[in-house]
Amino acid sequence: MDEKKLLAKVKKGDLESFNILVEKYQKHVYNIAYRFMGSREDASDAAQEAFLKAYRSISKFRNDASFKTWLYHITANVCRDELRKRKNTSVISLDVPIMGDDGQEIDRQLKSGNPSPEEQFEVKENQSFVQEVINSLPEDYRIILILRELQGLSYEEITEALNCSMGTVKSRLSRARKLFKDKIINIREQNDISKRQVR
Amino acid sequence: MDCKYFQEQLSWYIDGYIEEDEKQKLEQHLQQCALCAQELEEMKLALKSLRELPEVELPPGFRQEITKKLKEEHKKIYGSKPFIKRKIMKRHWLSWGATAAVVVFMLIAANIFRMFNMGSQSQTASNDLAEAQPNQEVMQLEKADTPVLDQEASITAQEEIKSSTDLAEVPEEKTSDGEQGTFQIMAVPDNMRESEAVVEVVSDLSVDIEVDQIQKAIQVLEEIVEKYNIQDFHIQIKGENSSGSSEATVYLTLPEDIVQKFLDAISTHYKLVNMRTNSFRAEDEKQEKNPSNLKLHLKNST
Repeated sequence: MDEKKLLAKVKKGDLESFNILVEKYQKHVYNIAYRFMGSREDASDAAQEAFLKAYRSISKFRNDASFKTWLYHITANVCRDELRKRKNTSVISLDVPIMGDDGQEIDRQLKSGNPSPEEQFEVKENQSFVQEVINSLPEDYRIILILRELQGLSYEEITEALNCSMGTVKSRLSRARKLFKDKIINIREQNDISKRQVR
Repeated sequence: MDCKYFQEQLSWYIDGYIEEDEKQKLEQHLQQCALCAQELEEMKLALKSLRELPEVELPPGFRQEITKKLKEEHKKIYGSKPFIKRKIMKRHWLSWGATAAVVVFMLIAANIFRMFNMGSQSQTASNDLAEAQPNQEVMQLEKADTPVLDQEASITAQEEIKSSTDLAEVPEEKTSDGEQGTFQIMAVPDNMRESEAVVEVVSDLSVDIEVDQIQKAIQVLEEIVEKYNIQDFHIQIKGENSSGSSEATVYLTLPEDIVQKFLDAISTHYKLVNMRTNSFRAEDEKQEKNPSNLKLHLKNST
């Protein structure tokens, strides 16, 4: 059954039709939440809340809109709200040096005990490292990168999902990519320096 | 034009979201400027690491949890479905004597009714005998193998009915476990009063449904019947005229364990307004596997 018919039924209160949509989108919603929140547990809660919110507010869904982008919009908002609730908890930036108990600066990039430089390099190259860089980005940049690079949304779809203009999407995506790239390169270069020093 | 201008375009260039003339200018610049060319390569590499992040699997139990939460949400929005609840009964509505009298009356009425209709089409049970008037126009689309009344009578006899028709319903009442709007079927013999727990087994259920168009409603019901693979199903349409029918009664027999689901499915389309039931006290849990007879009375809400 096509999505429009399912949505018409959902609007009449048909939970089973909504469950079909959950089945179709659950993995995408969960993955967006996971990459945004950075933890599986938080992602699970956020994804579930997103579906509940969507079901609760289905009457507000415009029939001519795309359910996918509407759902992603809700998902992004749920994730943002959740992070906002936790704003009192410390957010560690990759850029800001952390002071140790002895007042010495601790370089977060070299936190992994004393593994060999090769091992360090591998750790930094792995997926959790990339995720850490995502986590360090401002929320607006994080979500636009997730939607574009991981979910493969078109610019037009992103304008709907983020409720902003094409101009905003283009400039924000451009800045988000540049910042992401700079962080990756910067850390890689630091890593190369530490490798040379060890040698 | 400086490098900053070109570098801002790199992102759109990668995606192909760039005008043709701008693209040519950028490509020309990239051939001359090593810095911008390097910026482009680095950007591509960085994005590759991002795009290569694997899709993570859903955590175990995710689907079950969301299904459960959605059901609860559905109840909050639309209210709970009016359906029989097996519950601990602490109050009574009819004395055992009155209940027994109704049962006897029903058995007699059923037999008289059958005698009068001997040789005619299979007739169906009705708690509301007015519906069984001989002058009603009956369009039987499909014949049930067993007339509902026969089955009802046999259950009545065999199971030593402890409660009966026209049992009180308590719509919109908040029940002990917090569900709202649940119809509770209450009929407790004297000797069962204040008893701790009585398991109600539903044998027959009669539900009134408000619909906007009878024909459309029948179509909807047919779809649901098909979905649940219910074989024993037939429809009587009353008062059909050029402007359409005003009432219809749908009879069906279905396994008891899907009655709730079946009514849930209907309630997503229409309002279930009234419910009467025959139920009996279960001494034996196996009885719960008995099929339930449903009578759905469609009424034009306008």
